[in-house]
Amino acid sequence: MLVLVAMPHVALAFDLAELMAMLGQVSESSVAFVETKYVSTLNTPLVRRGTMRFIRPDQLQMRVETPYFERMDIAGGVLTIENRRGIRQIDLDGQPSVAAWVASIRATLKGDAASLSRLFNVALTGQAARWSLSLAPREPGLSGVIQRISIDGTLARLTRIEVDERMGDRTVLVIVPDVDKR
Amino acid sequence: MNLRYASTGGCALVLAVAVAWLAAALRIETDMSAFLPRGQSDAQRMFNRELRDGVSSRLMLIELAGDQPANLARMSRTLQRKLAVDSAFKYVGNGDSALGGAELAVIERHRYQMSDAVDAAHFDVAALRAALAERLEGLAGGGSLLEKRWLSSDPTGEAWHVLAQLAPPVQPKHIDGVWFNRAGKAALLIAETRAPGWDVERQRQAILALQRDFAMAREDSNAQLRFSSPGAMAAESRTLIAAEATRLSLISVVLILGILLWVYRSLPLVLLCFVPAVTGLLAGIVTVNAWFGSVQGITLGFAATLLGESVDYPSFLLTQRRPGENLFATRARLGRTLAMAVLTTACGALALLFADFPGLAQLGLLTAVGILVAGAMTYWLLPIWIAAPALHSPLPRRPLLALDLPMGRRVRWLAVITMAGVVALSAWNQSWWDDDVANMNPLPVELKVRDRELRQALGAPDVRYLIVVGAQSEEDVLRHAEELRPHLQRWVAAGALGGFELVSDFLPSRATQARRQAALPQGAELSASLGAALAGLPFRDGTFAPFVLAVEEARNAPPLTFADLSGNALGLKATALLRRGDSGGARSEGWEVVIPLRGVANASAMAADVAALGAAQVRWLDLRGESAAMMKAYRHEAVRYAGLGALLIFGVLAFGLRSVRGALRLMFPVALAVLLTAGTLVAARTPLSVLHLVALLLVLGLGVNYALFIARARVEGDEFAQTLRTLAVVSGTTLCAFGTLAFSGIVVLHAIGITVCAGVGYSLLVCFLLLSAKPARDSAMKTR
Repeated sequence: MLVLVAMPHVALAFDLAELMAMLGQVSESSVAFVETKYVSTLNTPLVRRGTMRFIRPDQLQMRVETPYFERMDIAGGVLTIENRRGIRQIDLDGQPSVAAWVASIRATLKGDAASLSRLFNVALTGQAARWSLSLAPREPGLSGVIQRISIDGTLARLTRIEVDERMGDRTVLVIVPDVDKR
Repeated sequence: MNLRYASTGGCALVLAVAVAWLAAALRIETDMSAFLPRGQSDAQRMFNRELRDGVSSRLMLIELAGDQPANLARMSRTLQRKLAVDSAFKYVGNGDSALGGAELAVIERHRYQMSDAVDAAHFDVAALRAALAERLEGLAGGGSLLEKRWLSSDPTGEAWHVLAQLAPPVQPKHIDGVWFNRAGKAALLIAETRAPGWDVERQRQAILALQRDFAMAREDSNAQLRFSSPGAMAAESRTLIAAEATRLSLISVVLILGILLWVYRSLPLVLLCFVPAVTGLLAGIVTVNAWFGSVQGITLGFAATLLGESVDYPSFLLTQRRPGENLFATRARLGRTLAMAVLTTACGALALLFADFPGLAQLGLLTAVGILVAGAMTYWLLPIWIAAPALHSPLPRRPLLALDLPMGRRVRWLAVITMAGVVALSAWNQSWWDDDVANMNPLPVELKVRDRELRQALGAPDVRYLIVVGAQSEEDVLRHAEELRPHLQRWVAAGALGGFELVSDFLPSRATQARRQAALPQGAELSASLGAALAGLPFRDGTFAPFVLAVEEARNAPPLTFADLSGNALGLKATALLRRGDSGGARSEGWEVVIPLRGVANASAMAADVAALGAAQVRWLDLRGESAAMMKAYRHEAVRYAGLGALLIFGVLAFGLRSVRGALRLMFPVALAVLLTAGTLVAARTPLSVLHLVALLLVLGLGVNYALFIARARVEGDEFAQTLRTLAVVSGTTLCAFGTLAFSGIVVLHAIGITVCAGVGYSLLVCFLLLSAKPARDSAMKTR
């Protein structure tokens, strides 16, 4: 941090390794989010609010409060979805498209450059203070479903996750700052 | 001289004809179930059929190991692609996109015929609105990527519903999208061969194809291929048994040749000893082939044992010949004893003919015929041939064994009683019978272990409990299966049952399909209901046009049939769960639905529940229980036939000796030797199976031979040393033949070998102790 402040010209060369190293410092984070889904078959976007929690190394929990309760737990290779209809477990290895979405967020939060580069063509723009990761799936089967995942952030904090699906559907998840103070 | 040429010529001619006929007509079968009983009840026959023809017999479990998981996963994909287009295989799965392949397409296409949720109320405005609200929630939720696939065409979620019923309870672990074992070290595949499990030749070709495709998929990696399948096992057991039989026969022939050469010091004489045995063997094979239409490969493997027995007969004569004595004179002295020896052994073997194991019945016939022919040739032809001057050199009169037992009768009896006591005590607390049908399997243990490992890794455990539904037609049997579903669900809800697989869940009866199709609303009606249901929901206009179209299409679709499912995992399942029952006998051909049950809490309670349904066509089946019951019943049967064999042997003895007491006196030590053999096996923690019983019957025949000659020597007095030599030679050759079997890795061969070897030892020991006492002051032992 000190280095960045002291030598602003280095920030122009901000690269993936630096970003990942920065993110790798965070051992646990808890944020609130607003998720907006633009689905081609719907007249109006779907908006959900809730909280998201990451615990190193690989646990990601999402809790949707409105409009319907839903809990998603991702631990290891299993995604557990609990909602009014019950609990469903999804083996991520059996669902590549879901797995890719999980991996993009989880590997970023974790600062795992190797995993990101294995699954996606990674492009990083911006600077440490405001960066943007663009992830395009490498696997042809996957790129048929997901066109691109864009993750924006500030320093070691994520601010926005956008998933663009091949069929035109789009999910924008905006992370609301200051959740810890609520 | 003329007689010699005539007999030699005649013999050669008969042999030539036999060989020529065999060359043309011999059919060797290698079905591994030949040594399984045919089964007495429907349930047992069904169990056997499952072993032999069932889809599980066509399943090949494949494992790739020895490289990095990522490389193994890539290999698994390549191998899957190659096998999928290979004509030897009908289906191959590696877990790659387990949800989304050919199975999903079939379910999607036929969802309105498959789903048991479909009825008239399913498409009214209220039901549609509830379904649409659920879809909306799903779209918003975390599983939205999965929801979208069917949103427009299947808003009521029929495909999901069908899928949920089919989802296997245990899924193997996935790495890089393909199945791996628990440890994550080996990629797993499952393949169904086109050839049935018993078709050993085509199974072998499938294995070759697999190995070839693997070699290409592997490229330059060091990965290893392991596989297991009943078919592969049959193929391997064929090669194994053929190789084993050849090897053992060769070894025992060499050993027997060695012994005889050492004794007779004349190659022509030794070769002549083999002529009756070989002729007998040929005659036996010809008879079995003519009677049964084919010869089991395993039966042929026992040729060595037959050889070991019948090669003794010339020795009985030759070793007893006195210096300068014409063999005709020797025969005159020993003829009756030899005849009794041959007839008793043949009778013992004849009892096997009644065996329920086709393989054992063949063995009985082969042995009986072979022994009789070899005995007859020894009796009538050998003296003619050996009268030739060149072969007339008498045996050197060297004492082979200077065995004299300077024991009194009391000491001898004490020794026998002590021996019996020790064996009885050590066998006392051991289990006597082995009724596990798996132990009859001729495969080596390591192959069975490999199969079990792969099965567990793939979550395909051996099923134990089944419900079987029978009916005359495919349609009827599916209807009965559908009627059973509410009961099964009730048991699951009550916790009595963990789960079940029901073929009608994805292949409903035509009646049910038609009823569901009739419940589907017409296009205009559906559009109207849909419009009403959509009011106030944010779905865009026209989103559900594919749905209306799909329902209209489904209304007029031809019924889903068995054939529509073939070539994917559902087809594989359907073949396993629904099939033509071949209930032999008078009943006509029918159909069967097999319902494998998981997590049966209380088997007897469940069986009672099934019986309480009061449906005659629904049967409860405990496979392991059935097989044990089958083996037990068969063992009882075997004991009966062994008793019959003993009785026949006794009859021959009583007739030959013209004395029931004499026969009893001979049988007693032999019977004791048989009991001691059985007791020793049990004491050594080898519970007795049917195979041991059969071997014990052989021991009885051999023991009677020894007893006959020992008793005879005792009666004649002066011939004791000579008889010792005779017995040393004949038991030596027998031990060679069966000793080699005892070293076999094939359970069947090993069991018989070890039993006969122990039996020969005990027979000699007990007979010597009880029958060879000096006759001087013992008038009561006179037999004639």
